[in-house]
Amino acid sequence: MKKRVLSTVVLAFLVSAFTLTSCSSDDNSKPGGGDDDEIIDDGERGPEDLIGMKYILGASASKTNLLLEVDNLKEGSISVRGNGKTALGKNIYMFKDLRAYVFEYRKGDPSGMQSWMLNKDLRLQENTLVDLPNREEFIQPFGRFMISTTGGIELENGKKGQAFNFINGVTGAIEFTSFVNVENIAEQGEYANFAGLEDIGNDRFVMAIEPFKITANSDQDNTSAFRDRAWLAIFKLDMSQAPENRVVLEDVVKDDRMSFAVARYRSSRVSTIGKGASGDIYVFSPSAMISQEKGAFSTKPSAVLKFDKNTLKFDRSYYFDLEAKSGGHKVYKVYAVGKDQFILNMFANTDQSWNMAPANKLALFNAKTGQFQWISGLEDPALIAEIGTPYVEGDEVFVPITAAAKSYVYLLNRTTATFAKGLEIKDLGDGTVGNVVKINSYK
Amino acid sequence: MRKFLLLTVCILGQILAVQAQHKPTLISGIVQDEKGKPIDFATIILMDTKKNDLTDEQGAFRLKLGSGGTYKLVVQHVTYETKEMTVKVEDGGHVKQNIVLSAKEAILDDVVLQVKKPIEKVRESAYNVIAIDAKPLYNSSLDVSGALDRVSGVKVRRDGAEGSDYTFSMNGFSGRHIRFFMDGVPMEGFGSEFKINNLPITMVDRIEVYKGVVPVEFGSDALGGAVNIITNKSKETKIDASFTTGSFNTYKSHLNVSKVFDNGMTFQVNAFQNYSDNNYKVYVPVANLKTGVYSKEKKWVKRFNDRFQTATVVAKVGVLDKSYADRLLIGFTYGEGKKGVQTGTIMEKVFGQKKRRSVTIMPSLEYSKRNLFVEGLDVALTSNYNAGYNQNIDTSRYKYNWAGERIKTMKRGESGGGPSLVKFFDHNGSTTANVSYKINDKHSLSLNNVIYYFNRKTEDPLAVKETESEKKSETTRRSLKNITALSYRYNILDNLNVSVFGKHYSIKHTYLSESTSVDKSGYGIAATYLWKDFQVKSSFEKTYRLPTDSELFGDGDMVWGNTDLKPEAGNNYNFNLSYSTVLDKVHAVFADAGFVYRKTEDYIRSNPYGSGSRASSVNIGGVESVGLNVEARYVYNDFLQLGGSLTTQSIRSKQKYAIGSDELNAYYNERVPNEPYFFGSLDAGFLFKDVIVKGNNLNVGYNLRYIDHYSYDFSSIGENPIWIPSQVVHDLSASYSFFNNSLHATVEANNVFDKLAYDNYSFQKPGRSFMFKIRYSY
Repeated sequence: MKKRVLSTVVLAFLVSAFTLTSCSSDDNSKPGGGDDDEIIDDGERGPEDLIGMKYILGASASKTNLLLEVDNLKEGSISVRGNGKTALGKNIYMFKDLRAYVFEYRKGDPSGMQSWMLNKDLRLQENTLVDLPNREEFIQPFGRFMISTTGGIELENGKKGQAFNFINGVTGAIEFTSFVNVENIAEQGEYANFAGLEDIGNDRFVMAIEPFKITANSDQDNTSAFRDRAWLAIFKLDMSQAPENRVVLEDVVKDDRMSFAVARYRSSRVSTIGKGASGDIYVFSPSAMISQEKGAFSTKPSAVLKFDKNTLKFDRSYYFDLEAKSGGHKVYKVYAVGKDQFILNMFANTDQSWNMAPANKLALFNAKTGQFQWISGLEDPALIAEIGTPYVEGDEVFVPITAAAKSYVYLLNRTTATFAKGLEIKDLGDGTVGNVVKINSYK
Repeated sequence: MRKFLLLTVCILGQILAVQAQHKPTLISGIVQDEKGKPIDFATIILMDTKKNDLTDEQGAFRLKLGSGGTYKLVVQHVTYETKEMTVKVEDGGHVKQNIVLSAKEAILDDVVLQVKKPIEKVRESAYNVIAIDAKPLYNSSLDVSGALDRVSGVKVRRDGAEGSDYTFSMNGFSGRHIRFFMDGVPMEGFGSEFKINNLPITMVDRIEVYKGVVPVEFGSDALGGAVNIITNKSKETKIDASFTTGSFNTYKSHLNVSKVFDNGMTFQVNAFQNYSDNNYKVYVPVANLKTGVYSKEKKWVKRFNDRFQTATVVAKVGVLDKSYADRLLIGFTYGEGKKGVQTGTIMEKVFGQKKRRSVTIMPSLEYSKRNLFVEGLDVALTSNYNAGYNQNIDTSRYKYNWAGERIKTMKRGESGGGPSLVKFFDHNGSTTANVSYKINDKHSLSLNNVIYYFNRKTEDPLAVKETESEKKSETTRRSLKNITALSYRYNILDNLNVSVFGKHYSIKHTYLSESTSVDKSGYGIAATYLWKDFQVKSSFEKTYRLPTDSELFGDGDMVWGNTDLKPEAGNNYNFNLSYSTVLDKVHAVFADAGFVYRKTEDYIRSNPYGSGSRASSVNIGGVESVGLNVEARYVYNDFLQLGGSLTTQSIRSKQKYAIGSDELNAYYNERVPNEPYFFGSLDAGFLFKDVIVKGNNLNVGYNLRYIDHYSYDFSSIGENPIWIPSQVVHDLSASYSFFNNSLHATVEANNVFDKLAYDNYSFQKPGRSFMFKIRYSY
């Protein structure tokens, strides 16, 4: 098995290298980055080859997901009538400044993935359409790869596992899939679910752990025995291993000052970790309620810790109680927006913080100083249908939001924590915005 | 289940005890034409009583009398001269009287009658109803959905070949807006073996399609209409056996045996089986299993995980024409089905081992009695209970592509949600009671009540339960629906009648410790007027579709329910004009034009707002539909039949505001997407008599189905909206009948020109295929 997988991966490398060298008309191929001496395009481009750029904005109208090409996010309007390319999804993930990835989420189907590029005429064009072997949960660029990862895997030894698909960022093709055992890695008798994925350099990334008890059958209570503890798993990508073993769990770091750092939206896990200006990882615990009847999961409040990327440990001197700062609200989702600032999507009510409870009360939090400000300039949380992942360009933060059936790209004032309306996206009907990215076209 | 059986046995015991005390007085016989051919749908009236009967396919009738005496019998048929006679019968005696009718001057040929029949059957009805006579289709390989697809205003869109998922739409309504019945019993709870796409046509006598306005006999919250499949109910001994085979390893067989003994005891067995590999070729991009990348070019590949098989036996035993019951039958149905799931929600997604399985275990009871206690009081009761289940099986560790190649993955289950062996025990039962009273020739009343019970329990040994919603997923949900309806019919003149009716809908859902009830009342009116060869029909109904339990409760955790949801409301208007005549004894013409208007409000839609801060479903907007359905048929002597239907409809969104706001909805008044708006069919049939051997006939048939292009979503969205292209599909058939018309051999070529055909976006249907059928009927 091992041999076969290895040989197929090598073959895949060769095929992709051949494809790139022979067919790549718009991309410069650069050597390096692979196991052997194959020529692998790492997606780095020089400014001298730049042809132009476009913002790509995701949105849905009726049953259709669209990607709109936009020049200016700060003003004007764009309609989806007659505009936008039909795509698999509206939430876009950038690979460097070169590709826009969208993934589809259809219950019951394996996952489809589409990579898009900007052609020489500065028009969006499908690069590849891919059928992923596993459903994706978290997607993140990592070196020359896009990683899409999912839990719920059963390894050959019958143990629970996590799968990591490594996608060639430029071609969009899967290069290899690695698996990690998740049983008894954080605590004995428990298994780990992962959420969030942050690159910490040196071929390493971290993911937050959500714990569950290992039970003999699905009717037994699997609630974790460790309710007041947070974990971060440190993984290393080791290309010298066989493809299925290339993701190596190096360490699990723990801290008992707060509960675990993963949120849930329906059955999906939601990331509550993000990178600060120095590359350290800020780890937020929602400390959400289990349900209205069952009440709080943890005795600890919703809080934030810092993981030091150099020592690979939690910073013992760093801690903020976000419930104390917000007047009792808990964190639901976090977005790093640069300069150590985070947009926190908080549960709207202090007594309702379970999965799917009302959220969308936004705050701007400076993780370095601990400054917490409610963001103004938005509709009431109950009128907000969708908040797209913010796009950060230098000092500017763009956040597409659909509220009360109107959709705008909002601009954040980092100092006053105020949103101002920019580009309006029209004719979505009951549809909502996704997020916005910027990609370039190169010679 | 055990209680039900016990109850049934008790009722039957009582009935048999009563039976022992009486011997019925009977007049029965066969109505034939001068050549000795049986005449069906002739009315036998016993003058000075309210008793009458219609002859069946064999021309047979049977009249039960309270006591002996001398009776005047009148026999009427639209195309024969009326005949009167006197019959004397002893108390407790049985007189067999065969009757010969002579054809009316103007009509000489039997084949011409074919045109009149459908009208005759629904002549008295003021509803917008089309009756499809299944008998002419018995020699074809069609299933019920194929027969329905030829009706104007109706489109049955399929995702593939045998046993595939389908969407039945009628004048813009589909899904839970249209209700299906079999012999008046709601089919909602029947197992997957009883879907219109696998019921053999030879099991069916006729199909009634009620467009929009639904009579009270079908107690249902059907917003957009109803389809009633009437199975064969022969009063004579009968055998019908057929076997079909053809392309894609398809085998279908059906055996229908019914026997009526002289003492009135009867048994009926319907056994049918379907099997197909469904391995037809499709034109698709093939993914590279290593890289996951789909090929830019499409290839022709064979489907490989679409095998479909079902086997079902329906057995009924009971008595006919007793003093206590015209029909009293106890039935039992057992069915099993299995189907490969070849694709996901779009055709590019391919599964190699995923399957669905279903089991139906369904006892039933059927009782009807005319003139119970008093003349003119008819009662009917049907009851059934389904204790079967459906199962999804998805445990493979392999990933497949369209080339049929596979690689091992570290994951069990081919679909995104992980491995599954989930079983849905959708136990349900329904009881329909109908009481009608004919006060006199002018006035009649009808009262109908349907109780429908539904109980869902799911079990999945492989389920991963991490969230509260997942942990509650196996909690039982129950609902109890009760619909009571009363109608009054006034025959103002011989050729003019009006029906008015009212319905009360009530539903109670229970989930966890929570219960909620919804009540609503609807009403309607229907009238018909006959003048010479014309008939005018007009009807209106204010109707409702009650919310489902998941719309009211959500999933109890993640998807928030909204117990304040109102039922969806509909106003259905119909106007029909039909014409039928016979010219120069050999030309028969039938034409029908129907105008429909539907306005539906308070649609239940999912709410994108607030991630649980609000209800997941809301009542908003609706749909307005205006349609014209035209159907015409011409028959020349017994040689040629030519017919066709055409439907044009405008179905527009009437959701004025976007959900949760006072913003105008950008798609207000636009054509509702993914709904065909112009389609039709044409058919032609030729009968060649005495081919090769005298008495042997050859039927040659041609069928064309046309569907105009339509958009997958609102047509203005995006740069390149997806369109489902216009399609024309041609089918040919030839059927040879021999051995005194008891054996029939049929050859069919479907989709003769091998056109790439889709009904739903991206889901390709089979190309050219051939079917061979042999049928024996006695």
